[in-house]
Amino acid sequence: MPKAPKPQLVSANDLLEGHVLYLGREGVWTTSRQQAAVSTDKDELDALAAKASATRQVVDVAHVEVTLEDGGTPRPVTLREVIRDRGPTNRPDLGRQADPTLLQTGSEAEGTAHV
Amino acid sequence: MYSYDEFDRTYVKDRVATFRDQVARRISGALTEDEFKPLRLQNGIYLQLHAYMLRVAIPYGTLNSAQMRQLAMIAERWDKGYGHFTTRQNIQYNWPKLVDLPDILDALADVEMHAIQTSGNCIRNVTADHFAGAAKDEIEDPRPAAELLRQWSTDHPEFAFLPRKFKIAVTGAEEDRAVTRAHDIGIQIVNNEAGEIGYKVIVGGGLGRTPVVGVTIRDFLPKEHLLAYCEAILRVYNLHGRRDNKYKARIKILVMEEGLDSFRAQVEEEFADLLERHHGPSLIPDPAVVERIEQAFAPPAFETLPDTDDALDARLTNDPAFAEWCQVNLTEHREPGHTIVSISLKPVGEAPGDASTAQMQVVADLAERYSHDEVRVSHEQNLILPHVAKRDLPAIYDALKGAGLATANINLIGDIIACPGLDYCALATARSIPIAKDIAQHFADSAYARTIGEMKIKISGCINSCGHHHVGHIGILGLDKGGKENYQITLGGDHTQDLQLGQRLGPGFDAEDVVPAIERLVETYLGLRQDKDETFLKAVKRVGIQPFKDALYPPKESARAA
Repeated sequence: MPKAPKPQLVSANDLLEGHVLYLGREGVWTTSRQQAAVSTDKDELDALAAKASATRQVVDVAHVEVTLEDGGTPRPVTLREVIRDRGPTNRPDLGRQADPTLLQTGSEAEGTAHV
Repeated sequence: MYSYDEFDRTYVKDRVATFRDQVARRISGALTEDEFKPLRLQNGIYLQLHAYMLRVAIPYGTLNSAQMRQLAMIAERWDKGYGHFTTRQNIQYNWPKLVDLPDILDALADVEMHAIQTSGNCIRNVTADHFAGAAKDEIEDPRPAAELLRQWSTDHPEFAFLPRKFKIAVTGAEEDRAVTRAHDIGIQIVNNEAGEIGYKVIVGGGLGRTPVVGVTIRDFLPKEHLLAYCEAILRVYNLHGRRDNKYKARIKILVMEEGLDSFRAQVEEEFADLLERHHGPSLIPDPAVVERIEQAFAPPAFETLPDTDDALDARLTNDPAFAEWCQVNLTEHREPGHTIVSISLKPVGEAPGDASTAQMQVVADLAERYSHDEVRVSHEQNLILPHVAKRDLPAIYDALKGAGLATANINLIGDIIACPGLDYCALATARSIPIAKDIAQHFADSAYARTIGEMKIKISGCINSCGHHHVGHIGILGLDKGGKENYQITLGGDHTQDLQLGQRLGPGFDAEDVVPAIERLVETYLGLRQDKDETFLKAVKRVGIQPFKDALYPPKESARAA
């Protein structure tokens, strides 16, 4: 029996600055993971990404598997994507985790030391 | 130190100008990412997990103080206030912005540095013994040969698109501190029976997913034939190296598949052809060029000094921490009254190889004032002041201590090599830095570390082996096992002239179980060593891995794991 498709979002890096971006529900690239478009339909996400490419130059576009928290916020599943989302675990002063406006609430505020 | 001539200067500046134009065209959309990516890689720029990464070449790991200050300035102005020194004697910046990279490369060019050939399937930055020109066991300074190879290999049109990347290391000493047997080509300076100085040439070594110990292809090569012989090796590799499979494309695979005798015969034929029939004269370096290079690396004007110093002796008597640092971090220098200072970039709690802007500035100041304006970067991710008068040690130690750089752990268990791992690297499968930090923290008691004695722990966060785990006395390889970090442990690796690959002990460990495992290995060693002079590696060589395997996998656990 085929496995049910898992929820995904689309992520990339900003061309100019290199930092991590997410494809938002409005079809624009955003630094906010909460606003990321999540779908089990890869084609739907790809169509949204194609629309977004006109708004901001990005590189290394990739699908990222996520789970949805109670509030609906998508959270990356793999350690690689968790670290990519937050920053290096040995330097909490660096990366997205260093910017409070990009941090999530609840369980994610605990950091990645024990992910 | 080698200084650029007008050709070098113009060449590097032109490359920056070209890249500035390429960046502008990428930003304007005139170049696609597919078109731009190989261009940025040719300038040492990768895209990692969080940002771009710039890898700067430090030829043979040698810097002057102006260059080190410029590296510090770049870290402060365009990055996050630190740089990461690597196992190939380079420095990497983890956070540059694309728009700033042309300015960064321009700033590097101002101090005769660049990032050319720090990426891609070309001949990479040539590395060398970090004690070059200072070590007592040295036959000859390896850097003139390394510089000659650098000039020959830079922008070499025939070798710009090899089957895979190609790394060359040179050593001039009996003790191999440059890991030459784990390079595509290793060059060792030797004397022949007639007392002439030449090169032993080693080929086909490498770590990565298929670790191979390099083999000697030539016992003695006359010095003037260095470039021709390397050109012959590269030609055979370029022609026959596999391009159908990235994982079988390194020269080590070709040498293994062909067999050394067959590979050597092809190289010798090509070598003879190069010398005798075609372009030979161009591959015999102009003696004037060689002379200029050798002069650039002539020993500094050392003072004539007694081998002891009263003030130093008094400090050694009265300051145990200073005495410990001197005991651990100094290496014998060829000149009386002088010493080699290793500056550990492995303080407890920090990532191996990281140095802040302020620390780089302190090292630059110390090099300028006390070490004939020279700094070295070691493949073990430490910095070296190669030419220090012993009388200056107290002042140097005090300055290092003030900068958090006086950790006395060189060659001890806290002196760990670790690649950036999954905290930064897009290729990594597990984290390296937190494992290194946990081990360093656990063994932070310096008395215990000295009781253990010489210990080389090397950690890689993936099979590509940037952390040299295959040649660690204890090697740790981080992998992804079902979505969880898992660490395999190898034992008995040796990075020296007796290069040996470690043997895997058994199933891997979860991250939190690595430190207890290392502790069990250490306790096993301390329990079975014959005396204090029997180092961990010697003990492993004497008794084999079984006692250590038993310590990690008691019979009951072994049965369950099977």
